[in-house]
Amino acid sequence: MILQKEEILKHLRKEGLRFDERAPYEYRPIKIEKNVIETAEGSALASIGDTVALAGIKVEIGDLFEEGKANFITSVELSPMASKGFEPGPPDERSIEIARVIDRGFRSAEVLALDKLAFDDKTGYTIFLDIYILNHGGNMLDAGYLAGMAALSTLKIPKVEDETIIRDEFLNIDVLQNYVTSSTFATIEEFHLLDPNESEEDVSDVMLLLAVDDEHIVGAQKMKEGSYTQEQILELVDITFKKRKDILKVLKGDE
Amino acid sequence: MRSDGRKVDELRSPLKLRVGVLTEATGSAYLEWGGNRIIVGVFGPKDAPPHFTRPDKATLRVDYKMSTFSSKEEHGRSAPSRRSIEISKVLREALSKIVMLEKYPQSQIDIHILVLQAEGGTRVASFYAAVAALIAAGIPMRTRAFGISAGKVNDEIVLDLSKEEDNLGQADIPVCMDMDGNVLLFQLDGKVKPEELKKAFELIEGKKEFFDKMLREEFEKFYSQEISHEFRVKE
Amino acid sequence: MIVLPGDELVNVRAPRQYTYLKDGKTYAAVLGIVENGTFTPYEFVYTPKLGDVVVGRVIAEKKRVAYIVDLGAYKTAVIMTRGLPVKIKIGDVVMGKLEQSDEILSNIRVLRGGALIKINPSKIARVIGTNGSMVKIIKEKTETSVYVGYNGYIYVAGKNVSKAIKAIYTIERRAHIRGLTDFISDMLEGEKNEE
Repeated sequence: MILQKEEILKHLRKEGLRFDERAPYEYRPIKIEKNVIETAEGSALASIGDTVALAGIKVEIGDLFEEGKANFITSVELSPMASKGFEPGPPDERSIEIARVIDRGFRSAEVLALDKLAFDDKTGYTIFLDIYILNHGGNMLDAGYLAGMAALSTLKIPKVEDETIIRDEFLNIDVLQNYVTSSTFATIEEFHLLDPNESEEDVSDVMLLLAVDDEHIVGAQKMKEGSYTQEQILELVDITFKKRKDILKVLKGDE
Repeated sequence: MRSDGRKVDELRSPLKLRVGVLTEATGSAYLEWGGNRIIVGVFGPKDAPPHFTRPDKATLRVDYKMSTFSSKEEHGRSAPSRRSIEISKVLREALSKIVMLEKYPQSQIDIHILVLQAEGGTRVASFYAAVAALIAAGIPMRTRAFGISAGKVNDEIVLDLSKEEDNLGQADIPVCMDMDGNVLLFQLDGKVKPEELKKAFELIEGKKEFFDKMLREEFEKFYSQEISHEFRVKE
Repeated sequence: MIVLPGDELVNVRAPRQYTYLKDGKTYAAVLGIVENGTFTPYEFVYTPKLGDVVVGRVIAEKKRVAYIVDLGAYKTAVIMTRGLPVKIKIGDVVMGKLEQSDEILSNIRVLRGGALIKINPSKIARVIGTNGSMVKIIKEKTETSVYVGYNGYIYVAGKNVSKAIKAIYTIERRAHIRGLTDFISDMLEGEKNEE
């Protein structure tokens, strides 16, 4: 659906609803399937409305970038099949931004006990979290975050013997310490729309991503060329915390 | 007797096809074959940039990629490997034979293949999934086609090598064939005698009705039910 | 009966674009169905045809001589600036007819106040219905104007645009199921009563 800005605003001002009949702070249906890839050490498929993200985790061993902490590397690929506008090739600024934002959130919230995954100061595990966007219906950021978080919750660490990984045997440790939930808003004049679809993203003036755990804001990214007032940001922080409960239910659900 | 108990011409299971799983691609398909899980999205025909177009036919582009977590072993690379580039080329050449490119001159058709999970025989499985996605996109084709890897294990010609058979076997022969028995893709790794190759082709052609039936059944479903573009891995 | 590419069509009326001849026999080139002796292809990408009424989006301008219009087809269409009675700009949604060729759009109207959606062009006939019966029901029950392009683009403006759009997508998904007109009529009636 292609909507012109005036039409979106007219509809919102008249009905208080978006074109797909959602309220401004309403998510599209969220679905999560865990352990969908058997070759990965952790995986999940997440969809928000039509947007689909698949996250897979591979574990390796090697030298650490940071003393005493396992390496954690997030990357995102916008698969060319996800949208007419995606071309095959190296990551562009969109996929790099999404990857770095998601990475920061998981790191700040200490979702994984990276210190438990180091053998010593210099060597340890490397956790590769790779997220593929398979279908773009808007809000790839939240879909990517969900798929990544769900995949991390399924992560199993393979045993190491004689400096080699034994893929079929796993350590009996708990590495998951926290859950991150995120909310992305697209702002069009006076309206903040949670979980924007592609049309809403296209016509918006400015967008904001917020990531939280139970008590803290663990990630923020203002996107596009517009601006927010400080009050607006704090209002959206509030909404993000309010929405956390419902998202956690789905995240923890498919066990 | 094969190591996994299969008969000489028995295919791995599961072997399931679903079409119409993505909303943005013109046509799409998801295939599970043994331990392979492959998703294909097709775009087009669409306007092609001037340096790219041919005056008499559409340009076909195939981009075959493996996810970084498709192997049980190491973390894969994100950039296309030499293997992926070669596979993209042979798949493009195979599909160019059955897609009716002359119906859309000066346009472009893109086929994107992502192997989510791999367990041997990914190129032939990708070919079949791409055929399904092209049909689902309403792109004109001469006929249907499929692909199987034949192989030689313990001096015997068998179909659809398992990963173990591929590693320990004497030859791996990926073949893509259309419903008239024409060979569209043919490669060989290992060594076989001419009569063994003949046997391989016979066994492969013997499976064409099976693959045709699977396509037909999936498209009957696609047409008869309320179409919902939903991508799920588990059913 | 479902038809796949390569299936022979015997005594079946079929648009030439979607078939091919080999050794004197006619074969289907695309997925489709044969019903009552006619082959209806499952066309996803629209092929511009002379005489079609289409809806499109202006995406570019060429040196003030013409505007380029996206029809969701494998090639774009143009609007010649010369003699154009209306003012158009990039981003506008327009309705017109491919009168002079399959690439030139004339009889231009600019459409405003609504939403543009895209459906599979082969389902357009279902959206219109026999003698316009289906689109009439949608327009009446949702109090909208519905502009249907044969290229699969539809523009909807008026009172309950989102309900009309929902009905159109439902028709696209259920095009082959029987009793569709009643189903849509009931669906829209039910939604009306909810208000």
